[in-house]
Amino acid sequence: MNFKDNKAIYLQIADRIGDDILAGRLAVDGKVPSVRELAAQMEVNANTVARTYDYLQQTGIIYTKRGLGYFVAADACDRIVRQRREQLMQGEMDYFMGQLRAVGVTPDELRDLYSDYLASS
Amino acid sequence: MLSVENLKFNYRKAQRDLFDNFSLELNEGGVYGLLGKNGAGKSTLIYLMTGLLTPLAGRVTYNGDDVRRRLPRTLSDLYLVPEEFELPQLSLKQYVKLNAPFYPRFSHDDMMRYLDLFEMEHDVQLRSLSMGQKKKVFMSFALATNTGLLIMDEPTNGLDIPGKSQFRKFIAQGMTDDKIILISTHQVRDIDSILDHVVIIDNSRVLLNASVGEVSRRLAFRPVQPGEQPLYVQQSVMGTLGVMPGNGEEETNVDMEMLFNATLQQPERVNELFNQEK
Amino acid sequence: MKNQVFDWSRFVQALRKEVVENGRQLLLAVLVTYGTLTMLMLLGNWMSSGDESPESIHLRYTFIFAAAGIATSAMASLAFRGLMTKTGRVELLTSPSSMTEKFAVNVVVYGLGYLVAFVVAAQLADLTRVAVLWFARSSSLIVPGPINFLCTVQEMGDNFSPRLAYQSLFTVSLYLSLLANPGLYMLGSVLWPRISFLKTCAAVYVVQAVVMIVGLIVINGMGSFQDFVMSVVDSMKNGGFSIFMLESVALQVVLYWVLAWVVFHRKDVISKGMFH
Repeated sequence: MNFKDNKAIYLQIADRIGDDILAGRLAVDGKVPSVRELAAQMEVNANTVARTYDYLQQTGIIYTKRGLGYFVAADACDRIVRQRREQLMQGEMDYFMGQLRAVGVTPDELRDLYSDYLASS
Repeated sequence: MLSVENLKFNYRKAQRDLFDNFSLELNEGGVYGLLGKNGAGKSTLIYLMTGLLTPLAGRVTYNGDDVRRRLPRTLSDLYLVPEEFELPQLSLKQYVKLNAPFYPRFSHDDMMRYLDLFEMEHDVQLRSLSMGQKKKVFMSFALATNTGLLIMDEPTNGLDIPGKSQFRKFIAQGMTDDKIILISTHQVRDIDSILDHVVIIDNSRVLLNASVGEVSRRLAFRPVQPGEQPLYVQQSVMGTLGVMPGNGEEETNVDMEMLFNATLQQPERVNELFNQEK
Repeated sequence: MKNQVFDWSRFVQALRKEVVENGRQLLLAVLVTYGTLTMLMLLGNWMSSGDESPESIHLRYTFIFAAAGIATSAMASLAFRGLMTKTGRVELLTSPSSMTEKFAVNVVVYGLGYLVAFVVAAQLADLTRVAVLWFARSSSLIVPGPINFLCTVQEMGDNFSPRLAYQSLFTVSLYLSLLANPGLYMLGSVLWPRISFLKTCAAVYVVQAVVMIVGLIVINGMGSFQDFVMSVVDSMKNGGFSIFMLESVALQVVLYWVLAWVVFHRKDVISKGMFH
């Protein structure tokens, strides 16, 4: 895994897990790899993965079952989508709209572009 | 716990002391990176930590015993993988039979797992291996001894690119809460993701000894913003990246190489930032 | 918790490691010993026609002791191979047995063990000589070899009556010197791990020369002191000399091995001078 992004590694790993859940690679209520397993897979320190799992637990994406490990929460998909929406709207959206204004894109042009995009995919 | 206490050492009396009143503590459950330029004294420090050199003053204790006494109970709970080593003219099976009994917590199963990870066969003739293969076999044995202290000097030297990736997995897998792993290297990029503590030395002083978590809280590694006073900058394809004092909110990825350069260039500022109470 | 100075099972483990890792070289050393002795015995036709004259006995005596002395010294010089290189020292000094056990392994393999191997090789060499001569149907008489010889050799004692070997203090000293010699060379092996044999020989010559020169200066000194020395020399006759030699050799046996042990304990991976 390439950690070139400036974001803290434990958050990047959290994003990857989020991707896997949304894509169905990790089943809802299914088991998530143990801290050590994931650390070996990602070639990172186990403490980093531990932080990731703490973070995912706090945001309600995974939960623990005593002695059995970590599992994907039932409403994980909804939560992930909601969290990413918030992050997008509050962070990158601002920057993106600044770029649009700088090159003079009108609201109508923007709406058409997005509609076409949704129609074609 | 490995405790280096007020160490003083030099090779020749006429020269300036290599270490003077040098102290350091390593605790269980940590993967420590010992970073320093060539000639900074990393190997000497490692020899002092394993009882291979006698300090002029001060001492190094492991589990409460002075390592220089070279007690069997100390030696059987530590393992040093040197940068260069010789393997005898034996098969791996014979080698294990001769050497494993000295390490009470040695596990055959663990060794097989590590050999599999490195894609090495379970029994080979040691002398017929290439340098990289020898390293992989030796490291598999070393980690399988399950000693409380494992020190590796330039472990990724001589490993090909897949080998370096295998090494990271190997350490990530073999690490437990009761072990201390110390990796000394000048090739930071090979191991940065698996470290949880970093020790930077230069001119035989400890410039920095902190957990990676602490570093990511006190420093930020990202493009420089106008008005900021970076400790260190680096030009890259992504623009000017810098090391800045953290603002207490963001936590960026720690770029070990930049951290290393920043610490060497501005040791006082780094020291200041890490000794503040936050 | 096992004893940290000497534990038998750990010692055996270290011994096994040394023997197996160096098996080829050790076997070679013993074979070379056997081969050389066989050659020498054949060439000198060792037991020379069953001749029991004093000259012949003296010759055989000298031969076997000289051979033993040289061989055990050479072997002792090969001890502590681990100390020869940096990688070797790292492995040796971090191996989880005590320094005493590591020292004992070397004593057993390169000192006492080889001494036993030498005696066995010498006996076999003589048996080989016997076999060869028998095949060649040589007319020389065949007399059994070293072990028998050394135990029963008769020396001309006082009053010219023969005595058995162990009854002579002088001979006992000679045997003891076979223990002291390897000790000296093992000390050399620890002090100078590389080209040890030559350096130890050189050191011995230097020390002997110094002692002789000092002795000469002392003897040629003041008259009264000269008388004192003479009286000492006088008292050494009538068996006193044998006692002196015995004491001296016994002291050396202890001294060299202990010194070797002490110097070995102080060894580091990177030397800072001869004794470190």
